[in-house]
Amino acid sequence: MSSPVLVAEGLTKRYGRREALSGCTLAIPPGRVVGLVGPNGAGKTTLLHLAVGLLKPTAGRIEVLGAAPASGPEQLARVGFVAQDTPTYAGLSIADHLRFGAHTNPRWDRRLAEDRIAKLGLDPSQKAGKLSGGQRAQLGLTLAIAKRPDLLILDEPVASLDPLARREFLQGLMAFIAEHEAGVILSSHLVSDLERVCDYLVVLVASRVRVTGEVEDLLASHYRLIGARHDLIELATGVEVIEESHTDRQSTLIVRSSSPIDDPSLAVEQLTLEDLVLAYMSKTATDRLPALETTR
Amino acid sequence: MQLIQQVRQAMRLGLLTEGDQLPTVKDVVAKVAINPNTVLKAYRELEYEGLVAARPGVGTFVTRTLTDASLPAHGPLRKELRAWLAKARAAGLDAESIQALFATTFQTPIEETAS
Amino acid sequence: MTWFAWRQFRTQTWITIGFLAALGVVLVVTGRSVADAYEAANVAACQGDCATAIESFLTRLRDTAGSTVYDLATPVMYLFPALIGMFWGAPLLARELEAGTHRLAWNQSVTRTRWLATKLALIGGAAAVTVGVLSWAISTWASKIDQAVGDRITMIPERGIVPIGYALFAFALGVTLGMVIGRTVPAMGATLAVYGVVVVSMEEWIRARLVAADHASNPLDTGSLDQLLIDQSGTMTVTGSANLPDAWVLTNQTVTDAGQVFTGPADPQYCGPDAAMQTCDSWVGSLGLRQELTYHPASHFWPIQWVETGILLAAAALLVGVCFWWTRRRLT
Repeated sequence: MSSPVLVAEGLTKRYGRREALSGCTLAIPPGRVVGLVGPNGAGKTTLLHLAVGLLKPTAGRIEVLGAAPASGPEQLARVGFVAQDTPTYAGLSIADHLRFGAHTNPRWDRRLAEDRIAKLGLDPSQKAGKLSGGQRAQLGLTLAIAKRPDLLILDEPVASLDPLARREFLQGLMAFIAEHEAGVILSSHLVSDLERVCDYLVVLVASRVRVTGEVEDLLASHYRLIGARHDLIELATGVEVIEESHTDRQSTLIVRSSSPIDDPSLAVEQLTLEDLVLAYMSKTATDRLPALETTR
Repeated sequence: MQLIQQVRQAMRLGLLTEGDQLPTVKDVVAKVAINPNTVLKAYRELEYEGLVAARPGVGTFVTRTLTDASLPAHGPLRKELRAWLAKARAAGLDAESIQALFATTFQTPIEETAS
Repeated sequence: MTWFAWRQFRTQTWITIGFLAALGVVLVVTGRSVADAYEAANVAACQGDCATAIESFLTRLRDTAGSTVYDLATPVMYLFPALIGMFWGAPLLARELEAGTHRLAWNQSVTRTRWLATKLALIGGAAAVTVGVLSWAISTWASKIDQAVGDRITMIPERGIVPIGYALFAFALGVTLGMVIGRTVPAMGATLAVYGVVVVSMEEWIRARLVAADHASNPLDTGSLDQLLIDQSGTMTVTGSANLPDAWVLTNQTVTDAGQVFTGPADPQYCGPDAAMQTCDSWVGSLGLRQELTYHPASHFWPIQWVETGILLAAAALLVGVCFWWTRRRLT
């Protein structure tokens, strides 16, 4: 299957005069663990809610697994979703939640759900309202996984978890996709959450998509350039400046370049994923127009 | 890549020998929360280097031994190393100093041999 | 989905069953005292004018628990649909939206429409059945008393099938307001308020007009006047006794030949402060006045029941339609 799991074209969501998402265009390839990163309020939840059909676009279109989101029971069965803070029915037990999943999903894998709950050491008769944040997150993930989706969408799944719960959650998630070959899209406002698990990145800042791509490719094509101020004005075409900062004598640029930078007067450094995302979240980056720019 | 290095290291120390099965991708990521594709790539790289072979439906197995005749010497050498470390600590060296001392001493003979 | 709708409704189900069971016990126990009073007054055996027997029956009933139950039945029948609207209807969507669990429920492999349809059918059905049973139980229990008192036509929302209409209307109202407001407690308050307005509007203005009222025009019988008032300026208000047993009298006016409401002025010679009552009465009688009545006889009970229930069900259906439309289009 080589068709994209998610396609968006000019996707926009407006509330009154405020644009939560502006003109997003994406084509996310299958079989990846996709990280959706951006500061709070950037529009990550809006994008994910549009992807699962909880919201309808104001303009543009979005297709998930080749169909409109929530367009029918078949499409709903193929996408597993865990919303932010894992909503659960506080008065219902874990077993009730699993029964709920079994009754409302034709592809429900009862064995998988029960094994997972048992392995996590959870008591099925425990009411969901009495679970810790980490346990609720695991319950939400179990519910999403056991319906055997082709795509898992998780909205800030580890944001409110302590480091141990966070690690256990990601371990369980990775084990699942190792076995079942589903795609995953997970959002976070912290790059550190996503660094180890994501191989595809979407950076969303101020309701716009800033950059997308395979993590490997992005890391290979972005550099930090440090040099004396006047040296940096002359850069080859095909080099796009993402962020710049200057002191009296020195300038630091974060650039994207299709070919390696070969200038002896400049110090050229590789970036970490966090550096890269921060560069796209910086003020100089957000001030620019969304269109690609090349420097003089 | 860290994973590749770890496998090679294990093979050198005789922890992994010919015929041993590498842990499944699922087992690796269940322990270390990393992307399964990363593990797959690492295993493919090892296969390319001829160190392991993937048997579809069964698993990935070590096809070579990286240990050599020096393996029996590992035991006593390790013992001496432990004693040396104890002495270094007793002398008041912290972990960083020990590592620095080892690193510089390790480098020097190589340069001497090269020149 | 059906299982889950029931599971979420479990507490309400138990409470309702408990309530109906308790009510059943009360009705069976007090039913005895009603039957006893009925027998003792020998109402069944009387022919023709049973006024004395009926009077005796009601007097015997007054001091028993049966009388209390009869009186309490009225507020119960008015309140029950309101409670259904507030506790079964308002939380249905409001609680999901408030707790954010719609983000879980609407991602399972059931469309939003099917999800809503299942819940509405199940709980709406439960509401109809519950109130149906309640109304049947109370109507049956009170039938002899209603007959004796003869005012069943004025108790439209407390008997028969109209309570079911109110229950379904209140339920649909609760669901709709819960969906629009999105928070349970404000939705409950709004449901109660709107329901109250509807009930009062029905009582005061609408119900009387649902079925064409009967008219009667008789010569005024001064021998049985309900009231004869003369004020300072000599303006008179004269009302004859309607003499329509078991009927719901809407208007009772005394009019002149010309068709105008008679207002006097009082002739001081016959109706002055020194004149005797009978003198004034006979003078009024000589004026050739007529009594104009509009009323619903007892036989209009079921026609009014059907029309009112029909209106309530239509309103409920409209609200349900709004719910489906809103859930599909607007909650996004």
